[in-house]
This record gives sequence, C-alpha cells and structure tokens, in this order.
Amino acid sequence: MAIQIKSDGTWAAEYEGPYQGLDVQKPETLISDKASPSFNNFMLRNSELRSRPAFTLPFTGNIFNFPVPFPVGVSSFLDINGTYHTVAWAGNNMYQYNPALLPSAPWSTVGAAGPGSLAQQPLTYRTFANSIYYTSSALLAPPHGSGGIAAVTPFLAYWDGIAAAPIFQQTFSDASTSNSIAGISLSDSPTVGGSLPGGPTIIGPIAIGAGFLAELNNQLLLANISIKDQGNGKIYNFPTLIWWSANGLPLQWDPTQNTSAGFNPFLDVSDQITGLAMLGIAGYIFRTFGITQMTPTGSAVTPWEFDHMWASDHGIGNVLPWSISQYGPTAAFVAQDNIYSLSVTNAQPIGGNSRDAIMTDLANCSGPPVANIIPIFKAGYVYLTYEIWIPFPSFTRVYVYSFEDKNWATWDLALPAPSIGQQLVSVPNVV
Amino acid sequence: MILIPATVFSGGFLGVMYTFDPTNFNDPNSGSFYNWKVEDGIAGRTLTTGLVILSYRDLGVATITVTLSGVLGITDAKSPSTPVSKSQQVTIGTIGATQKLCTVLIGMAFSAANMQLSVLRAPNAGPVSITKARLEGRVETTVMA
Repeated sequence: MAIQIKSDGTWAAEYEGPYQGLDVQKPETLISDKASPSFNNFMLRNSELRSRPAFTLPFTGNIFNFPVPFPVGVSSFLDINGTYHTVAWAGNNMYQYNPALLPSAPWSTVGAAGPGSLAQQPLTYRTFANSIYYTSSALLAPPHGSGGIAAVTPFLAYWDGIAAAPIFQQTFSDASTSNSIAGISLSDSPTVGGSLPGGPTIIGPIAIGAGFLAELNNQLLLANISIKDQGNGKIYNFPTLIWWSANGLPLQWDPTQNTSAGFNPFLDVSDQITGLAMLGIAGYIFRTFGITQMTPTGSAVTPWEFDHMWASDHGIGNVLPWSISQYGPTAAFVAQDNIYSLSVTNAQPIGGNSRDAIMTDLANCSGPPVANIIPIFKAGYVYLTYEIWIPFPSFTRVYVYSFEDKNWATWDLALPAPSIGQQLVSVPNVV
Repeated sequence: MILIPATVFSGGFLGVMYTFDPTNFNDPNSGSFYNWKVEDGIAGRTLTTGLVILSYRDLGVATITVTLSGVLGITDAKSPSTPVSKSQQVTIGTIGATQKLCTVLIGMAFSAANMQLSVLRAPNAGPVSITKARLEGRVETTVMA
C-alpha cells in the first residue's frame, strides 16, 4: 500500500509482498513500495522477506587438497544398470560421491579424468546414452575478469559408471592413439587437419577438445574448439569452430570415415563461441555478440543448417562463457546490455530494475562469473531461480532471479578468494 | 540438492562442496538487511513516525535492529540537510519456532523528511521472516507559500 495521508495530518505506509526485488533504476522515493533500493541476504520466495538459507558444508572433510584444490564441475547421471552416479572433477581426476565413506569426505577417486590437469576452468558435461561425456580446452580469449586461465590440454572423455575409470583415449585402425575420444587417426590427420581454417600442416594423431559440449540429433557437439597435434605437441585454437560426432556414434569424429561427422568454422563472425543451448528441435550457438541457430536437416552429408539470427557485428549474445544455463524449454544468459531468457519463440530481457547493479558487479568481478538455473535447493524445496555467481576478493555475490515472481535478490556469501586462485571455478549444479 | 564446488583456505587450500540448507535460515557467517522504499510524503515536509509494526513468521528466536532514517532540513547553500537515524533492537520469535504469524509493535518517535525503514539481522542472530511492515505517524502540513 502506498503512503496514505489523511486530512487530520496522520499518515501510514504499509509494505507487503509479493515483492518486486531490487530496484536501482529509479530514485528511492519513486520505486514501488514492493521493491527495495538495496537489500542483501533476504529471500523473496512466497511473498515473505525471509533470511536466506544458510550457506553450509553438507559433508565434513574436504575433497581435494593442495596443490590442485579446484573442483571444476559436479553432475549426476544414470548408468545403463539404472544406478545414479554423482561425480565431480578436480586436479587430474574424476571423483564419485560415495555415502559409505560418511562421516569422512564421501568422495572416492574414479580415475584420471583426462590427459592432464583440469586446471582452473569450468568443464562442460553432457549425459548421452547413459554415460557422462565431458570436455575442456584452452579458451583462446579468456573471459572478462579471469586474468588468464591455465591452458588445459584439449580432450573429450566419458565414463559409463561401470568401467573402472573414465575413458579419454581412443586407438584407431592404424594403431595410432589420440588422447581424446574425439580424435583423428594418424593416417587421416593430414587430410582432416589440413582442411581446418588456415590449412595447418598436421602430423597427427589429433586430439579434439572444446570449451563447450552439447547434444542434438543423437550427435555430440563441441564448440570453441582446440586441437592438439600429438605429432609435434602443438595446440591450435579455433574459437568460432563447431565440430560434431557421427550420428549415434559419439566416438566417431572423422568426416573421412563417416560423413555425418564434421565441422564448420564460422569465418564470417568477429567474436568467439561462448556457449550452447538446445531448445526443441534446434540448437543455439552463442557467440559474444550474436546467436546462431542450427537445425537438423535429416541429411547425413550436410546434417545442419546454420543461420546467424542477426548479421550485425554487435548484437545480443552471451558475453560470459559460463552464464548460459537451461532448464526445460528456457535458457538464460548474460549479454552486453541485459540478462536474457531465451525460449523457442523469443529472447526476453529479464534484468529488469536490477540490471544496472548486476552489470556493475559483473564489470568489477575478480574472476569469471558462473551461472545456472536451479529448480530446487533440495528435494521438496522448490525455488526456480537463475543464479549468477560473481566472485570478489573478499566475498562472493549471488544475484538470484525468480522465474515465478520475476524479481532479483542479492545474496552475499562469506566465500572469499583463496590467494592461489578463484573461489569458484565450477558451475553450481543440482545433483 | 544444490552443490556449489568451491576452493577455500582453512588451514590449507581445500576443495569443498557447499549447499544452501533450506531447513536453516540462520546463516552463521552472513548478516541480512532490507531497506524499504524512501517515503517523502509531501515533498519538503517532515514526517513523524510514532509506531513501527512488523508482522513475521515465528521461525525461532531472532534479534533484529529496526532503523528509521532520513534527513532534516531543506538543502540549499545555507542550510544543508543533515542525515539522521534512530535504531532499536528487537527480539522476535520463540524457542518453539511455532511457524505462526505474529506481530510486534515498536514505539519509535522519529522525525525526518525522506523517511526509510530498514531491518538488519546480524550473522547468527536467528532466522527472520517478515510478512508485513507498517509505519504510522503524523506529517507536517504547514502551508509554506
């Protein structure tokens, strides 16, 4: 209720929900009485101003010790035997949640995750055919605020939940072996590698990795590609390249062996690929300043049709590589001018009256922000939110957008950066 | 459940997993605050508050600081405005955490223009859930011209 002034000189003002959240884009006297010019660590769920849930350690004990205490991902998948696995990655290894170890740290080592250290960069993962696939690489242009990220030897690997260890190597018919399950044999490497942008002279075998991984049309998709020529150890980066596996064959990436595998370099764009989202029958390749739609054609030889949604040098794109997230038919991401949700039909700005505060904090962050759409905090406690996690030297700030109430809240966490790196190098996830 | 992988320093550098615990709204390490809209009533006139009324859900015992703030004086080159505020600590809720809606009346005599109500909860000061806030008082109605 807006302020009421009676003729006898008395006044009253009443404030109640549903709340509109943070409003920094009007003078404090002109905002709605359901909004706030500044607040922190209150949750606006169900029309209450409730102190946010405690930020706690659910398990005693640490997972990963120095010198590589940087968890770079966490996820769950269902194996072919119907068993759920919750896995995490850090250092050189993949770990699995093992409740039998409680009350000690409930994480046991599955095995080496890839050919080298996973460093301090979020990896991306995708479940396909009851196995979890994951990739990492060396992003050519580190995202804003990163101050440079240690390069990761490019690879794609998988674990089916049954084998003793993850698989990141593949041996070809010519007996050569690539340190990535997305690889090209020694025999085919000069031909395949020579047709990449710039026509590099490749010895082979080639190991392929990427910043981003997705699946569409029963084909795995890698985007923002790095390849390692294992013949001379040289790494080539192709920030606008997308490479797909053969249809239904996630271990086959060689277009000379199977024509439904292949790659496409977007030579006509001036930025780099910063993420992927698959909505309905189409895929969306996010670049820094644009979005490209890819649609299956049904043809094995030319399996995709690509359309840049706008051809301008600058437009709505995803400026933060790990801000894209997806829940069902909705994706969310951070562009240069606003935060957007993307559905099959349109892109909708959702920054609202909090946009300027979010953009200011993103510009001043001390490391790469990460984001995800979180449907629940735990089983039975639903709060469908898009959360942007922004690291600062002495704390971490989370902007929480409620899809139901269409409001933003600000939560500051007592999570400072350790002196050896960033406090967050992984996207939070529901497992 | 949501898991947040992070790196911390606690006697050494550690990789850990955090979560948000929706059964506990009393974060021991972080406080909370909420500032409501600034009320100017009649522009340039002073508002006087006598009573702050808070409705809340009883999630357990919590200590909050209720503050009214604003400015005194009309700003010009000769008489700059002076920021003023008044705070009062209030304990709400019960050990039994009944989950019932309750109301607390807080007498706070305070006069200022551009008045704003705020609530502060210190770290580990208890769980807070405010469902309604109300200010009551008088407004200066002297005709200036």
